Amino acid sequence: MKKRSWFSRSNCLMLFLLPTAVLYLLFYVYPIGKLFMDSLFHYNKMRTVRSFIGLDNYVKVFADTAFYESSWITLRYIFFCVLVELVLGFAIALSLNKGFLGDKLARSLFMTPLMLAPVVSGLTWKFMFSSQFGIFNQLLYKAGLISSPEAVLWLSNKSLAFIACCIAHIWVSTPFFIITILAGLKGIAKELYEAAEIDGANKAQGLLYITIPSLKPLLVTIILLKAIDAARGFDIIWVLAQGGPGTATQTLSIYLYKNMVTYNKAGYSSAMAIVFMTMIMIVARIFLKYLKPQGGGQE
Amino acid sequence: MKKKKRRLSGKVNFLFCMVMLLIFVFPYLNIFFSSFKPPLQVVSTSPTFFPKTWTLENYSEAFGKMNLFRFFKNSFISSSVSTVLALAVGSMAAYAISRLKGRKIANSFLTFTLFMRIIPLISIAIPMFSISLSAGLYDKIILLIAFYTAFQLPFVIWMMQSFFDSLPEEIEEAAMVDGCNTSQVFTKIVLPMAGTGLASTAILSFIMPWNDFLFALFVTGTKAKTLPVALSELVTAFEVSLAPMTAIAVFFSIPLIILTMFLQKYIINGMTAGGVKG
Amino acid sequence: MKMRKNNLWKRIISLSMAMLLGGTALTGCSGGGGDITPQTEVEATATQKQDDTKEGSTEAVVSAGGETISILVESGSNAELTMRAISEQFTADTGININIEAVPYSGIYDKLSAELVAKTGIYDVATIDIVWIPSLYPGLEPLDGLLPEADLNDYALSLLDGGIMEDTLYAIPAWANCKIMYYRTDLFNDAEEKENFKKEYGYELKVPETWQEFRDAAKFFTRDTNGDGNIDIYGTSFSAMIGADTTQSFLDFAAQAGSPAVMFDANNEIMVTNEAHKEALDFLISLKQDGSVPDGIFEMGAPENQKMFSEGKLAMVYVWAGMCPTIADPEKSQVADKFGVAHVAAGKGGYAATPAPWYNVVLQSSKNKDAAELLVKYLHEHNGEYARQKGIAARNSLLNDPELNKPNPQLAVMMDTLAQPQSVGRPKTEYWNEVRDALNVQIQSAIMGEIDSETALKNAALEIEKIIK
Repeated sequence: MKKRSWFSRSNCLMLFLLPTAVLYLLFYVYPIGKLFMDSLFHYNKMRTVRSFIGLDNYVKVFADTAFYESSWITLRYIFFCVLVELVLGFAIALSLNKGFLGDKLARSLFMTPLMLAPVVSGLTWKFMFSSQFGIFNQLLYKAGLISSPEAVLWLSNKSLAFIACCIAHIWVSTPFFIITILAGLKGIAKELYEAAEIDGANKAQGLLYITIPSLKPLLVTIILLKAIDAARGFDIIWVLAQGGPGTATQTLSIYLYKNMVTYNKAGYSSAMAIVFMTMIMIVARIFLKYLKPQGGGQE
Repeated sequence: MKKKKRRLSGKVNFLFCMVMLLIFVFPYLNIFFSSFKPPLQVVSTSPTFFPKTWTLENYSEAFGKMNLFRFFKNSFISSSVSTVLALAVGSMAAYAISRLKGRKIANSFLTFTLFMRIIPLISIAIPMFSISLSAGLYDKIILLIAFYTAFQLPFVIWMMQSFFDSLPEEIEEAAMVDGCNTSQVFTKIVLPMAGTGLASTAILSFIMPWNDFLFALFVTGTKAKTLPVALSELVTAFEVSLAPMTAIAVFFSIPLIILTMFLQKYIINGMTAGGVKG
Repeated sequence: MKMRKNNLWKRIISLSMAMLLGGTALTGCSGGGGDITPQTEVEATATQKQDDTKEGSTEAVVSAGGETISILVESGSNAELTMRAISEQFTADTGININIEAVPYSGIYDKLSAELVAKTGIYDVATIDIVWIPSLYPGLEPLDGLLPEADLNDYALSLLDGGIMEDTLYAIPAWANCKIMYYRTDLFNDAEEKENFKKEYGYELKVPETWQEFRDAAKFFTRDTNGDGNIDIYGTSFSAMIGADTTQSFLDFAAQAGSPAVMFDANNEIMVTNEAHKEALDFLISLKQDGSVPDGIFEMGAPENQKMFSEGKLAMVYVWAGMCPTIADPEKSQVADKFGVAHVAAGKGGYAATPAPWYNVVLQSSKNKDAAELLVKYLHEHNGEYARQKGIAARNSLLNDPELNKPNPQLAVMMDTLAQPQSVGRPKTEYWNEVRDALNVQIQSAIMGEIDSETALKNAALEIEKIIK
């Protein structure tokens, strides 16, 4: 009896995967396939003439210093953003979980960064950071923290521009951490903490030995998701700085966009896109292999 | 002594949260208040946070200037329909992956899903533009809906399989021994328990097509244009005029706020129902 | 417990149903989704045209059985405004309906280049930037015979030349544009200022005509007017942002310094390392070192500089002639009644600016070429409308129209500047975006003081060479 039901169960489950597979084929496999095909050719500007050059584009990508520069900038961007998002998100989630009057309202209000279209967010931050039109510097100046409203050149200084982009990205991404960690926290049985307290553990130990291990599968998931988001992040940086000043904020996404859209280098940019995606894939696989226990996420 | 400590830590907690909240809400408030400023004051060399004079000019200009209702409608339809579809299709797939764990197909599907998530949108948007033209689907809402569904799938699957993983299989096995087939188990037992996961995934997933700009820019013209694309057109190379944009942005964010408030309640209530345990 | 879950579940289902129903119901409405309602295509277009126009809903003149053509324009631009202003009249005169598709600047090139490959006929006419012509022309319809010789002579030679590739005319000028000087009349005409200036610099204060006079005036007017320790007004500002008009502004100065061609010439000979370019870069650096420009110029492009000038933060500025109407509008500018326009200051080679014209073109893939060409001709005949909408146009004869010129002083200044022999055009290359960005990065480095001007230009030369060869 059991054998039979298992058999049809598996098949039924496979069928569950079918609609997704179809959508994947149409909207991902096909365009990516086309992208890969494109990467093997050299196109003229108008994409009307093409010549097969095999892996030449890939060689060019790996010989491009700007590619390595952008990769490094992207790495720093991901690391910095995700780290701050994680810490902030965790802290705020813990704080909300503890509970206080109005915490439910606060919960919703923390989602406001997601309410604005990225185009608008980007522009808001751009003008808040502006040395001439910006409200940040005005407030800092009035608070006496800087000597003049033009003292801090958020967007004109190379290092500051990088930080400004990070700040804007963190602002948009942290709510995701807050809401998912909070959901996870709510799922941890209170009994575990009570038992630990009886055994003499303090709050910090509770955090370390109960909270974090319980959330580990969830944390691994969302860190990976948001790291990939940071790698792909485009809208905000583009509106804020377009990769500048100089190439200070030119992440791989920006560099890819410039090659693909602004310079119309179809073959070359396709190769770069493939390399970009492969790099992320490899890092993601490694990350998952060492951090996510195989088989279900149960401790 | 313990009570005092608790009260103090409670106060510190509250203060910390308030400060954080202020920081996070600040930019939105900036836009909100800016929408009520006279157009010239929105971007100015002497900016203020609160409006010096309050006016509804920006709203009247925004609504009079563009065909806002149509763009709003396009955004709403494409986003909401695609989200519902993505949730339905995605949780099915996520359930399958979760329950087939260890089988080759599940793992490769999961990896594939991750891969989908990695693709920079621009790499898809450009070929889609040509494809949409040749397929005669350019500037049609149906294409937006179809794509946005596919667009949200990786996220939905990735989130939901994590939730399904933490649901014990014993309940399902018991139900199957009792004679339910897989789809009955799925719809009657598993989905209700994952309601909270669905709710939070829904909000976060809905936001993706709602705010999408790049893809809509490439495949829509005038009929199926969504609001973010229309917004971007306000940023012209000629003027630094954010004023109508702030009004539209505030207006555009209202459905999201409503949706969040609506679904928030259920996340909180449902959490204690015990289905989702560590 | 179970009851609660059921309740939650019921709510989720009803919400989803509502969304799905609402969505499909709304999709059924005409004008929003992809459905074609049972009307003639002409009427449908008319309805849509009414939806699109920002003007009030006047009765659209619909010609039964007329064709419809589509024009692609930049949103918020002169092209869009002018099209919206004349489309009704055009339809009345010719029986052809127009569908106006307005997209942001970045979208135009992308959509056109994709269309050139897909060849679906989605656009018939487009108004494009001159820099795109070298890469787009294979997909454009030659317009050699469209206008009579006499009409063509009404355009400055350099303007026409911009639309010519391989000895064939592919594009008719819509409007010309270039940088001109805007200055504060209240500052330059003030008796006290004049006195102080003479004392400090030893000559009469006047609207600068040479680089040195410009530099002096910029330095003179940079000051803290209310004693709070911060500079309230700068002499001038220029564009130094990535992705804005930085490179073109720099090339303006190179032209003023007398460079025979800017960046590289028609034979791909690199010009960027010559004396004139170096002088130009050094001049910009000197303005920065004098402190006459805000430190934040690396965030500024023409729109930002215009905004600063309009708010009284600059004594002079070089921005587009087409921005004059905005600066003169008392609702948008605090200096509307106290500014004047003049041509830019002269370097060793005289006064000059690189043109930034836009052109009307017909796509080869158009399915209504005759109607499309008719529209382009119509726009040529009504070229004055561009001036009426945004203060700039292309035909010389418009200068003879006092009604048009009186409210648009920038028109004469611009045309005079462009008529100068040293107002050379930017290189005609399909790699414009790449060389522009490469030079932009080096210019920034030099002005930031990271490297000296000679190194910057040498670096730029190397990169440009790599790109164009």
